[in-house]
Amino acid sequence: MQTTKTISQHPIAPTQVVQTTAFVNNQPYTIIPGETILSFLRRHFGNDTVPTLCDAPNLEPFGSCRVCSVDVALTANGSTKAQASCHTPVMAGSYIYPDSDRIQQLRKNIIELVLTDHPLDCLTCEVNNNCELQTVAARVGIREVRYPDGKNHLYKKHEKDHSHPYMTSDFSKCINCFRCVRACDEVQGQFVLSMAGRGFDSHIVKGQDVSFNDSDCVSCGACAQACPTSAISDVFESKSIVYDKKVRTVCTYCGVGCNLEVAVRADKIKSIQAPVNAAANGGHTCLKGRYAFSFHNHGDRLQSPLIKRNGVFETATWDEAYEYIAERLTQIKNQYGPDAIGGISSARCTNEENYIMQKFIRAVIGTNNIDSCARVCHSPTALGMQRTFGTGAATNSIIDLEYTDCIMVIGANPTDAHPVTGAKIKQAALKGKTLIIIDPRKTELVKYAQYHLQLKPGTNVALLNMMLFYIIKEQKEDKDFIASRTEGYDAFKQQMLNLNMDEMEAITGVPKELVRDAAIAYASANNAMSFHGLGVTEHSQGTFTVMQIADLAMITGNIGRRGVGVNPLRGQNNVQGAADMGCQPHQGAGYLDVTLPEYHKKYESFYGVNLPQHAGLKIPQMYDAALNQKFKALWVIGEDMAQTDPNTQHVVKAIEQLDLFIVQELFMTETSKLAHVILPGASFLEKSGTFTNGERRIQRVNAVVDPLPGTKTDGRIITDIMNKMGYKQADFDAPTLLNEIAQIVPFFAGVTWDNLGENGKQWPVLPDGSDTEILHTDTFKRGLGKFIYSDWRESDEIRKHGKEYPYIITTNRELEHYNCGTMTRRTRNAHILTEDVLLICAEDAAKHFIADGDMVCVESPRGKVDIKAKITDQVKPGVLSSTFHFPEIMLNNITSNERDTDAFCPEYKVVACNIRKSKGKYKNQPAV
Amino acid sequence: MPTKLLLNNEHIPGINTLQVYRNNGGYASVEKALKQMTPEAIVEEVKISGLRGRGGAGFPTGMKWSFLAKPAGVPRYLVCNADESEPGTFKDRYLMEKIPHLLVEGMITSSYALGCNTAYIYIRGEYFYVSRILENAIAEAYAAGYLGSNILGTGYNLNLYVQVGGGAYICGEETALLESLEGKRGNPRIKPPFPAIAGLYGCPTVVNNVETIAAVVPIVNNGGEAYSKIGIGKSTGTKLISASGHINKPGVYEIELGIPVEEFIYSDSYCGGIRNGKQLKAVVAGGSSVPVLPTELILKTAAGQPRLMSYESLSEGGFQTGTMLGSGGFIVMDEDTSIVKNLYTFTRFYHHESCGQCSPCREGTGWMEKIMHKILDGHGTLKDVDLLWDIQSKIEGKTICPLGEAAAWPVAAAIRHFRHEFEAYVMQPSSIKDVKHYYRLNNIEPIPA
Repeated sequence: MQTTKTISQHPIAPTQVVQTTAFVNNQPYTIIPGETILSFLRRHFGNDTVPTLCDAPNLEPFGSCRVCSVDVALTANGSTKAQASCHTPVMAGSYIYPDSDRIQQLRKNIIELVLTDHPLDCLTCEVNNNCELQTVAARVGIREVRYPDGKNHLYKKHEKDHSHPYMTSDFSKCINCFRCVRACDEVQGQFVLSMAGRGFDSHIVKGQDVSFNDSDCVSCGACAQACPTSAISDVFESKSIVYDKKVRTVCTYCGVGCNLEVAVRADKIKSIQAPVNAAANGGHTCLKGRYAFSFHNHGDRLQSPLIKRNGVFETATWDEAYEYIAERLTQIKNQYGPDAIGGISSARCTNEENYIMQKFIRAVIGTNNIDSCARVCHSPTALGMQRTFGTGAATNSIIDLEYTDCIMVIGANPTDAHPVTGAKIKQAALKGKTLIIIDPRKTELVKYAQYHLQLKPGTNVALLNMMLFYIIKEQKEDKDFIASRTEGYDAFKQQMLNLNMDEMEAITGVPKELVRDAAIAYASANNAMSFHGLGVTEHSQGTFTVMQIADLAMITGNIGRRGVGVNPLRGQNNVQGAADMGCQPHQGAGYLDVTLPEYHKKYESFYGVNLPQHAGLKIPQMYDAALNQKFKALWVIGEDMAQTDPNTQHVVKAIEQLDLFIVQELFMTETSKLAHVILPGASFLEKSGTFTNGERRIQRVNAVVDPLPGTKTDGRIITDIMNKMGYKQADFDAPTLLNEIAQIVPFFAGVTWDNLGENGKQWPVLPDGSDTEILHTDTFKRGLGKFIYSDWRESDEIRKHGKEYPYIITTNRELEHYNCGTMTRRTRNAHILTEDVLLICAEDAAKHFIADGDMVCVESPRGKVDIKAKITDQVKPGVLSSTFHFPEIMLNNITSNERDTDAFCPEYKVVACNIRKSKGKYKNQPAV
Repeated sequence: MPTKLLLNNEHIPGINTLQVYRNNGGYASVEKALKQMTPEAIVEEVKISGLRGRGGAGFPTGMKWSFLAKPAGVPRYLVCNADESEPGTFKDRYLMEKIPHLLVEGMITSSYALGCNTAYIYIRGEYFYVSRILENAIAEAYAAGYLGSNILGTGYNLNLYVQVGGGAYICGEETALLESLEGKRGNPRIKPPFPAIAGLYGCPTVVNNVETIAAVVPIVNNGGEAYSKIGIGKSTGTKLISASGHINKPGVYEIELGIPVEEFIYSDSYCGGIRNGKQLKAVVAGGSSVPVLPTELILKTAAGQPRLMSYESLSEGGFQTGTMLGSGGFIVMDEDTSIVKNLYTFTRFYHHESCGQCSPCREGTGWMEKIMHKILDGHGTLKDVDLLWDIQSKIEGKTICPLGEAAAWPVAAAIRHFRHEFEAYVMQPSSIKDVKHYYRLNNIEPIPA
């Protein structure tokens, strides 16, 4: 068609006189420039003032349903024109009549038309009583549908789709509002759902018109949450489930810290939704947060303490277990001294539980042998950023993604491992922001990136040095920032300029021109922010790499304002908190050095006991000490070291040397099988406390249901044993303990249970309760930021074994499963991703006559495993990659003892290996 | 002899080649614009000329051009809307087929005036053969140095591309066109922002009809002043009219705006009167979407003045007694024509072409067709006529794009001026004895009784 009437749609007339009011039913109301009529009306008259169908809180205005139309006139009672309020900006001085007779009639007609193609089977519909169409129809008062019977889409072609473990659809209920399509595009960025056909035949299709199961759907559930009817829903009927109460809490999986709203009926958890007003996730979450909760009452849950006698676990009462533990610990302490005992706290537990665990180890046992799984993930981040900036946490917030111009992702795969942040990065890239990916793998984000520096694993330092070299050489550094905020630059610059780029190019395998372009793009952006993950830290030079990322931020002045900074993507829900709470052998609660006399004294007076003044053992040192018979007892909360720590045989051997091995767990894991005592803990849905997410946001976790019969919350277990061993510790109560924490952790000073509210606070929280979105705005924590040069050094793993084992295998994660899968494998996620596979490129596969789906034997100096091959272009020749979500594979049988030189984080990402086609002989080799 | 500015050379053999076109004064506007004029001066000339958009809306072109945002470092685009799919309209096809270089020349001159270095011609899918004609012309223009880099040594660069659409009427709506050009589903965008601020790929964009862009050529050659003297009042210049229906000489005519409708229908210079000596019954003056007018209102206004072929005169009286010049698709119906059947054809078309984005149009166009089908089949009631009226009134002006109105207007006008015919169909089913023949001709499945 040709445009016929644009002239009649009066464009927004420039107002001569600045007016800040518009009239509603001839009464003046203030307007905010740029807001839509709908938000203007909602602001003044509440959310229900105008009925809508296609509008959704976390989606852009779309204007397809037209139900939100209001009459707009240029003069009082003047001639009106119906305008869709959701996308029309409110014009100063205009006269709005939101409920005129004409508009009521129009709305009625629209809904009537929609109902001609909608099954009127409300009573048996999933969303009965909770359906937006139903609500709007009732509101506008439809009494009859005047249209004759005719062709419609109710029984034709649209069969219900139950193919997927979670997602369901019944498109006879679809009202073509496009909300699911927009959620898929604008929130998740997956582009699975789209509208096919034209006009009356418009209909939603998944992928190329396939089922949910066959589509590329990532089951984030955004479409189901967005759909106003039951056209798209999920097996839990999340949006319409009848519930007794909804409890807001925080997700237990990754460090994004999504807020969840859990619906409970008769003390059973029915479904989970993502609250729209959540600062961390704004109405979005992933399939783990939304759907993978059924582990919590899975039949495998441990529901009684177990004591191993003669090699067999026997159930025991809690009193028996406490008695046994207290007696054995006291005996070991007396015989070998407190340093023969240690604890590994859990990043899955709350701040309060981590705090109490380290307090138990330090104040009751009397040793600093306390560590947490931060050791095996982001310990180099904490150390590296402490050295350069003075504090080891993310400098900025996720919301800064909206303000940045350039995003650099190094060694991280957020669309799989931090899905909500990953989706936001994807959205930013789709909006045209520069995206630089440094990763040996072609991750999903690479599709959206301008630059992909596909380096050889283990050459991070060399590559980042190349970037720093080019920034200096092309004089793209921020001289003012360097002069006023940093130190050590001159020496740093000198060493940089001595580097030979051709050598570096050969080392990293990335063309130097590409590195230069990416470096210039990062340095030239007005605001550039970096994200990094375990691809940075889990290396022998992890700490150095983190320092270089900090160097890059400092040299370009990208610190201390909106849209910049160094932002580690923390792996676990509370790994930030575990370290904050002092679950580290050298620093107590609040990162105060336990070896310094002033802090030592402070802790002693606070805990009221004498404390050791020497640093304790890190996790790998505990294993070594155990093998040397110096370390006798270990208490572990919620960590499966036997499946996740590298070099399984070594770990298992060390654990087997222990006299007492206590494990607090939800399930019988590879590690708990080795325990002398197992104490059944409680999941996040059964406890209250706080988690601190990757952007330092302390958020309240609220117990949704009581702990399963026979289980106790982890904090309570530790408190019980503290009292049992003679330390007076008040009953475990999260708000009380949070007050205690606020007194000792400087950056928690202003935190109270009540003032955290729904969205929590980002530390440091000042005594007056104000929190901090951006760190280092005026000065660094350590005063001046410090430039530290690091030279690239080949990992010992490659130097020692590279000739004999020419391939490098690196480990990664998949969206559907979380770490060793203890929880996710006990949900329907296991139906979506069923096994670990070996990613191998076609060239390497051909060389070894391996076809897609063949079993491959991967052999390293430590051992062998058999994995099914998946031929892909995600990896380059010579590089392999796999996950360790499933105990059937036990990939850590082949990973090494190499670790970060400074922070002792294991080198999971560079393992020398060899491959051959196998018959599956080395499959199913349990750790024990 | 009528003034001709666009089609004056249409009968010269080989005018579709660059050689012949240039020998007849072609590409003079490019030479003049690039070498002697500033872009601002050209925009000024277009403003002076009073040229109005020839796609249908009739928005002043110079004003549209001056709205174009010019932020630094952001490309601007000119997009030619050649998605001519309004039923009854075929003037752009004729122009592009006969004198493709006129459009290419207009694109170069206009792009220069707007500061665009990339321009697109979005042509409807059914005109695939015309796209080849355009491609040939563009290739010739590149070879002659009128396109590409450093055009005529002036340092101005322009690349011109032809994009063939997928066959959707909606893609003639400028924002749906831009979506389609970007490779997306052709759904209209919500406005604001208008394309002049954020159009193609989010950059400032002007979308103009083929004829509008072609008219820039004589304006630059002869000056805006000379152009504004042609025509009548605010309807300046000449207009291509696609005349079809029951007339002796259907075809494309270039008229000076302001000639009487009666002259256009009956003069031998134009339509040559009604076919077979029949009487005139009604006219759809500007493409299928504009209101149909009965003889008495198309020849004379309600005030008794002669109706003229101009924007103002045709719309005089509003939709109660007037219509629109629209795209210039002039459909003439003789006394034997059934308005009900004619309307059914139109409703079928709009039902088929609604994009499905807005509920009133998606569902409403469908029901209008279904109800028309019911009436034609003799199953209709008087209530159905009222329902038709009700639906159209709830579509008009209540959708994102003007397609909703385009679908509603013909229904409203047919009922307004020919309600008795609908009543006859409803009340006297015998009057529809010829309907089976009509169905057979149009390949329609009757509704089972």
